[in-house]
Amino acid sequence: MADLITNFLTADIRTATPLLLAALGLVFSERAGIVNIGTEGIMLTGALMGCLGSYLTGSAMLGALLAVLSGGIMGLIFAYFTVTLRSNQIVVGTAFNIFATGFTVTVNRLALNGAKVKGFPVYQIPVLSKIPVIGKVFFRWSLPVYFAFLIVPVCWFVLQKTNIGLKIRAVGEHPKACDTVGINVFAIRYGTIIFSGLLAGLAGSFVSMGQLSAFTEGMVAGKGFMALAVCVFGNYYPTTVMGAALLFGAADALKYRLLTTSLAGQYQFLNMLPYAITIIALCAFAKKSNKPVCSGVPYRKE
Amino acid sequence: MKMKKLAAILLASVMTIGLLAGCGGSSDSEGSSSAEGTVESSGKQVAAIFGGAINDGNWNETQYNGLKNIESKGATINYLENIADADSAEAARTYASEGYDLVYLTTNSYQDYCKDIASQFPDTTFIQVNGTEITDNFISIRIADEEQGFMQGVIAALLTKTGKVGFIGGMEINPIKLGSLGFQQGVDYANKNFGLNVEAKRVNTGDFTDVNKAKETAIAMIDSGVDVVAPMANDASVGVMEAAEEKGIMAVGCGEGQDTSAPNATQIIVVKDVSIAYDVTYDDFEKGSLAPTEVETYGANKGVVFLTDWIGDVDDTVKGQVADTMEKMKNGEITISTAE
Amino acid sequence: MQNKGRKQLEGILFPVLSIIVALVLGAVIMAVMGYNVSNAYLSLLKGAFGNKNSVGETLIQATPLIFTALSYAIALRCGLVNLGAEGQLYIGGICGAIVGAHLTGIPGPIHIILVLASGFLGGALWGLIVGILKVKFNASELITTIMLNYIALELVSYCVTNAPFKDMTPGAAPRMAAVADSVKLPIIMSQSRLHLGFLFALIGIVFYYIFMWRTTKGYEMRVIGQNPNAGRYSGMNIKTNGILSIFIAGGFAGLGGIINIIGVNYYLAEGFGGNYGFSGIAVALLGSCTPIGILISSILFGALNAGGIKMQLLAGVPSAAIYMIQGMIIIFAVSKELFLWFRKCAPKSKEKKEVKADG
Repeated sequence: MADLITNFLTADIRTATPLLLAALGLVFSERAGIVNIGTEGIMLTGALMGCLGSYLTGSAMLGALLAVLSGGIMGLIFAYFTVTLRSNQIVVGTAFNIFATGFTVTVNRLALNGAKVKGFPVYQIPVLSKIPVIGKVFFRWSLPVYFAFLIVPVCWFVLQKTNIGLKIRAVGEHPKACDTVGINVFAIRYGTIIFSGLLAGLAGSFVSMGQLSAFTEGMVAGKGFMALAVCVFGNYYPTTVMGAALLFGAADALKYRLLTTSLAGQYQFLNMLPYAITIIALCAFAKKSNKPVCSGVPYRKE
Repeated sequence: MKMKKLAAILLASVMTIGLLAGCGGSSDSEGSSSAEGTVESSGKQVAAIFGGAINDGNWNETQYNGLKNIESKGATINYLENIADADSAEAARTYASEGYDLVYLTTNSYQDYCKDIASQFPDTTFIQVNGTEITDNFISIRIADEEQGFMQGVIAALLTKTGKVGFIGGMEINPIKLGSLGFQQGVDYANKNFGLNVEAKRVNTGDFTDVNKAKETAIAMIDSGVDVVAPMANDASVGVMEAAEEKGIMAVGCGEGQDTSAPNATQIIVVKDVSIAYDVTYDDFEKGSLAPTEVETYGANKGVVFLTDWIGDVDDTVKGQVADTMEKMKNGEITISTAE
Repeated sequence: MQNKGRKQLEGILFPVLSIIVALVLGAVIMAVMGYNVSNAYLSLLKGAFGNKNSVGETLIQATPLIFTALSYAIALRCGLVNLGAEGQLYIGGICGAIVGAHLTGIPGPIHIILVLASGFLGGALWGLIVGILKVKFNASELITTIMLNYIALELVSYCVTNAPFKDMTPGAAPRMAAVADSVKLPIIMSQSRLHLGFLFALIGIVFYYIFMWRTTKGYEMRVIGQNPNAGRYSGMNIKTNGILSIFIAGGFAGLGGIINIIGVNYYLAEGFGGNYGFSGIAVALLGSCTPIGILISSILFGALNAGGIKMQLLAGVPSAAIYMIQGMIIIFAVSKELFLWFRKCAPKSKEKKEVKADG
């Protein structure tokens, strides 16, 4: 029984981590009024760049750095198109995803070819990791996992308790009013998009180097969209986003456990489980949404 | 005023295109001429149309390798990847009208769209992998997918200590379905002939690209007591191998090189190398002797399905039993049912 | 007056310019990778418009895109973002394919109508779920549509591999049973595969125009889409209009799916929907959600798809490079402000706000 719980919870955290990382970034850009469905493409690029960096330098951390940087650059480009040029965010996001598919395949075949690379090493926290069940579940992870969960309170603090956070939230609600009182709407939106790009890049590198240790084409397989769902369904709020990511991870972990039972023949219905749970949960919690009023609307300075 | 500026931009863009086209053109013509220099052309043009990516580490990749081998025999090659079923007709038509001599259709779902094209272009021969139809210039061959699964099953059953072995397939397409059926029969065969009592768990993830899905499925399977896993999921197989490595259990691979993902877990790899079928069919085609009257099966008998050397440290009796079974399958002494 | 003329000119010039910019960037990428750029673009052109057959292929590719683009446009006009065309297309395909394969003994034309109706209905009901969840639970359609896409994909996977709907022929690939010969759409252009479905798509565009701009319901939807409050004050029912629009939108996507099956595929197999769902969004927005705009941009995308195969085949450019070029064309196509940027003296315009991306 203890084993069952341990295995289930570790699978949960493993699946939740990339979603949480990307969704935390999205909380900020969404709050500032940006809908970024290009997260999928940014994560895919991050997954590739992480492996490439690790392959070239032999260090997973340098790989992650490259992934984070590439995510930041893609965020910058996304911001240029959607904030400065006011292009439609959904279309630019779609285009990002198509472009990233081609880009990652090209680079992979030129430079990497799915080579096995050094993944993120696991750090066992002394003493704590020896506690039965809890030790295994919470204290034997690679750095991105600790990072993902430890920045949740930081994100919460920044968003809810600081001046910057207030500005971000205001920009999503009343960009024009913000402009009149001297808040730089463009700078806030650029900043949050780049921040979400950085985190999406890291999330991508965790997919290829934390959960695995190689890049394969198209490996992100919808996790970017799921991160967006986690962000919405966590109601654009860091702590609840963490809960949403863990719930989704649990649905996923449950699905894998059920796959090994006699239900395996109907695996398609098991595969639907996380999506169905997301919809149900969304309906249950969506009543009092924190969705910003001007979500998805480009701001035009007059 | 503004109009002029716009016109200027337009003009500049067009010129840039022209320039780039020029540069690109010159640089590439060098490239292609040097490529032509190294290969003494046999005059044959050979193409292949793939349903997936050519570097999937399995089904498509071994066929792509087969195409490369044909190139080294002096033919000019060309290929298309990620082609949807309905688009295969258009691709086949284009190859035929461009004068290609031989076109490989790499997946059985192309058959219904391409067999009519063959009758319109009698000068082009089409080889349909895993097809069922045979005409003068539309030749189906069958890859014995079930034999690969069968051997994975036999080996897994002989290796397990817990009495539970697992098969993880990708999308439920025919090669995977047959592989899965073969796996079950392999385990049954080992139970019957070597006095074992092993239970086989078989799962499809429905996905060839989501590696983490394959890995998590494998981990869940291992958590439920399985101690030998066998993947058959192209790209996603890597996930299964990594799960075995991490959990310290054994794995029976399905594609060459998979032991790099799992150096300790991999015991042996049952390879299905479709490139060998390409070699045989191309050689026959060049000699003009490719005219089968019924669909030929390419399996262990032709060396398409084979075992690598043992990678893990395995008991000699097991090695003997495996070699013995393989030999029997090669000689056609074992019949594997392909019906569900 | 002068202003209007310039605007019209820009309406044509900017999309053309953006495509040129994207093609130039694509050329740079291909040149860096060592491909023959002029040869590549020539094959693209040849593959898209070179002869009757190529034109046919382009229009075949454009057909489902018109439907998914209309699907997106209809919902957007009413202020809803329908990212679910992909799933609606698949469900429409499943329903239509079942009726097309398992209902027998009906005269051809009536059977075709039944198949189309069931395709429409399937997609429409899948869309209706989104509408109801939005109205009843305030669930963001951005998320529900994406989730329903995944669920639809799994349903397709189930239907093609399990009885009773899968193709029972021994050794058949995983797919649903073939539709009856009598419902396969006739070819409308010799020396090509172009089928009647393209005409249906044109009819769809006409319907879109008439419905949105010539009926009261359409007018209400457009008012609500632009300003929900104005709609509410003038007594329009936001909820029923929203539900109706997503119902029709889903139906259009479903039609795209089933027409692709009875026109080209004849079987429903996994992945038959290609990337039509998401490309349709780009098609709709590139065409500013106007009837003519959607027609033109769907043909452009059709040409890119059809020509892309030829580019791969004749110039050896890998499909990955083609994806990159497509991605860039999409980005620049919706970024007309890039060109406004060049004109430093952009007038303080009172243009309406960009198409709202979210209601």
